[in-house]
Amino acid sequence: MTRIEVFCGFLESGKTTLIQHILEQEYIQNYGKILILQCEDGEKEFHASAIRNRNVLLDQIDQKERICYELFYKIKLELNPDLVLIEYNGTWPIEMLLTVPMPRNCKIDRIFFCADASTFVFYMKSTGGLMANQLGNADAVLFNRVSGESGLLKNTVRSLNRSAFVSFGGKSSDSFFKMLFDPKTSREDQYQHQSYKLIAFISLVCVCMMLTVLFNPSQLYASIQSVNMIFIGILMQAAPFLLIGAFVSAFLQVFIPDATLVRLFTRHKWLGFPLAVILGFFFPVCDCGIVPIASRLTQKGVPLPEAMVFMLAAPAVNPVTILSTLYAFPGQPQYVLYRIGFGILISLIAGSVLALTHQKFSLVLSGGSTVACSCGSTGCTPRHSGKIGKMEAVFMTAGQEFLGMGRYIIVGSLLCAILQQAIPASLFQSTGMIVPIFLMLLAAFFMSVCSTSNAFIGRSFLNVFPPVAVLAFIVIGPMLDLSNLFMLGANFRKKFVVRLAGILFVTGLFVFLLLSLLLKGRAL
Amino acid sequence: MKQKINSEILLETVICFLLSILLFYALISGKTADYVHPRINGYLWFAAVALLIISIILLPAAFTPKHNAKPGRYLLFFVPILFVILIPVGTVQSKAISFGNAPAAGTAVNSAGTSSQDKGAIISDNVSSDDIGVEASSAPSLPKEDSSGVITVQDEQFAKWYQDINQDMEKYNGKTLKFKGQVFRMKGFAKNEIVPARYAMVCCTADLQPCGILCRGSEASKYKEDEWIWVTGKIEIEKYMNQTMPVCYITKIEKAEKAKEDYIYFTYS
Repeated sequence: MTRIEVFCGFLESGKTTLIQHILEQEYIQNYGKILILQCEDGEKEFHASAIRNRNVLLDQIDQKERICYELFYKIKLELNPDLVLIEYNGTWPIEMLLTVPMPRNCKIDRIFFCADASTFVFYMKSTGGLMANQLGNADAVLFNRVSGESGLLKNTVRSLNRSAFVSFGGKSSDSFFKMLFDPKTSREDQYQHQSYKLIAFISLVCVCMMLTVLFNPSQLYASIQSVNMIFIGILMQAAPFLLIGAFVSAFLQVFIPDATLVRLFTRHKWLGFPLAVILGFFFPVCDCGIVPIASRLTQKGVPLPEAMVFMLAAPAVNPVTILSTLYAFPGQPQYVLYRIGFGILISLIAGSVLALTHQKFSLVLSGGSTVACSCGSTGCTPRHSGKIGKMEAVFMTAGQEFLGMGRYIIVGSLLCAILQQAIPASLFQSTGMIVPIFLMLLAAFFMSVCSTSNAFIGRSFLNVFPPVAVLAFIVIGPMLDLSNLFMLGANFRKKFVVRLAGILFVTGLFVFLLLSLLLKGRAL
Repeated sequence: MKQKINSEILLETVICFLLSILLFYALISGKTADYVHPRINGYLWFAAVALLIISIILLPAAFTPKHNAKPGRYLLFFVPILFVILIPVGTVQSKAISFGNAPAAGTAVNSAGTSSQDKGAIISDNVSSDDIGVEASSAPSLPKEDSSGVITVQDEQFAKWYQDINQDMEKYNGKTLKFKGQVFRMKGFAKNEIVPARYAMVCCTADLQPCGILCRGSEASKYKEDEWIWVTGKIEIEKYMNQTMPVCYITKIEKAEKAKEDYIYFTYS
């Protein structure tokens, strides 16, 4: 078995040093024969004296064309090394190597990406595609010459590569390599492990479903069926809106330069928030469609408080929502006004709280799935140029965004469907001032009803709960909504999502309590 | 010879394609009506076409290999896909509702929040229907009195009639009505009280609400929850739980065929 390990990264990113370092370790003695293929003339040279293995061969590959089947065939046939270390040229696309058919018993094992921490971000911006291509395929990213803040580096990596091991030198990388290269330590592939777990989980679910269908214990079966109906219903209703949101977001990504958007929001110190509120009026999509748009705005550099105000206010000022609220409360237009007013008020409060608490906004983005182009950047570049190419890019980005967010809405709506069935209705009957508002906020959180229809649901509570509590349900519902928060978690750190939910819950409770105190039981 | 494709993109393509096909199938066969309000159909057509285009555009990218592709994260999409395929739609609705109504379960129709008080709202709240819809989609006309003096509400007229009687109950005062619905009871009902209800969908299956008129009659207790029945009776206007509403005094109950459409839909334009 010949293991091929690839080291890529730009010139002077520390590839040679890293290989040299590995070769100096004790565990390297366990390999019979090691071949180094150098595709680049680095400044550094190998020091044979320090290498712990006497059987190391070095070959230079100076032309792209030499990377082909014949090369590996000859290596396998004539040398048959245990380990091949390729120092890959930083300017060659990695697919060149990946598409080469490998001879039997010869396998590309890992791809390591080396980077100089001091120049990484700069290179990332100026060379974009090339570096992203190698970075996107890497199993591990190894920074050297690290000084100071490593969070930004990690986020940049994560934005292109969700799963790679990231090391900033020192002990973590040493133990990482020891684990990989020391034949004594077990090499359990944790990622494969994870996907096996998932497959096992899904098949378990399927088996359970089959069993229930076959044996039909009626009560259980009926409840599973009704959970299923609600689950699919929510998904079916959300999917088109999510797709519209994904398209808007993709459109922003492809056609609008970052600077334009950022300037729009930051030109005047006090205009950002009102602008964010008004913008919501022009996006008549369901609240689930707003989440990808707001995430995209943040990624493009729009300040986080503004983006969040946009996301929270949009469902309140959405023309479709206004219309449906009018229908739900005929002859009571004050509900529409209250809904808009409090919607804007609460989103502004939440935005101000975020702005005042000085979050390090760049670190709030988790650089999760939707940013990371799963095709690596070359795969995602459209094959056409000009207008057609841009349209192609819009569809590709929208598709991946839809799928990335979709995973979260699936989890969210499944949870909702189960909760709707599991929570007894009798819980939602109570009197007093605080409890109804509290309960309605909880209901809003778990029910995840779309902003365009929740007025109808809210109306049906009027017999049991005071109007203020119903208003709380209608206003907070689309903001603090389980499946939306799940989707938000695709792009933002979990901690931030929890904080946002907390802020909204507390603000909502406070504002509506105040309102009910002011009204003292009078009608709205 | 491994890893010559990008399994992640390939899976994305497959999922988009499958979703698109499922949507097309559901739209053409009319099965979407079991899950969502027909007004969303236009959006669903858009989604089906867009997903198809996306899958076509993504496909070529699947043949650029990627070293660390992790298709596992997309397996989650097969949960709803499998659910849709494996759990048959045909038998779902009535049972789903029956579970919701089962006294033991104590849950609401389908949504915990809307729950029993909400059911009360629908039968008692006389503004409840006209606000849901300006126009009932599936009911072209209101039911008319026939020669024997009975107003028979056909399946497709239910939504419109229900809105009408709630808007203007005096019009029906003293009249004999015949209408169809599923037996529905809620806590606090007397033994002889039932509501033959149809379930109205506001947006999707998450917000089904029973709609119907409170009926009284000694025979009522014989019928089980969710049974489809024709009820004939005389309408009187009464106060019930502090609300003025039409109450039907049953003269005849008979078993009925299940309605063609499982739900009724109010539309607002």
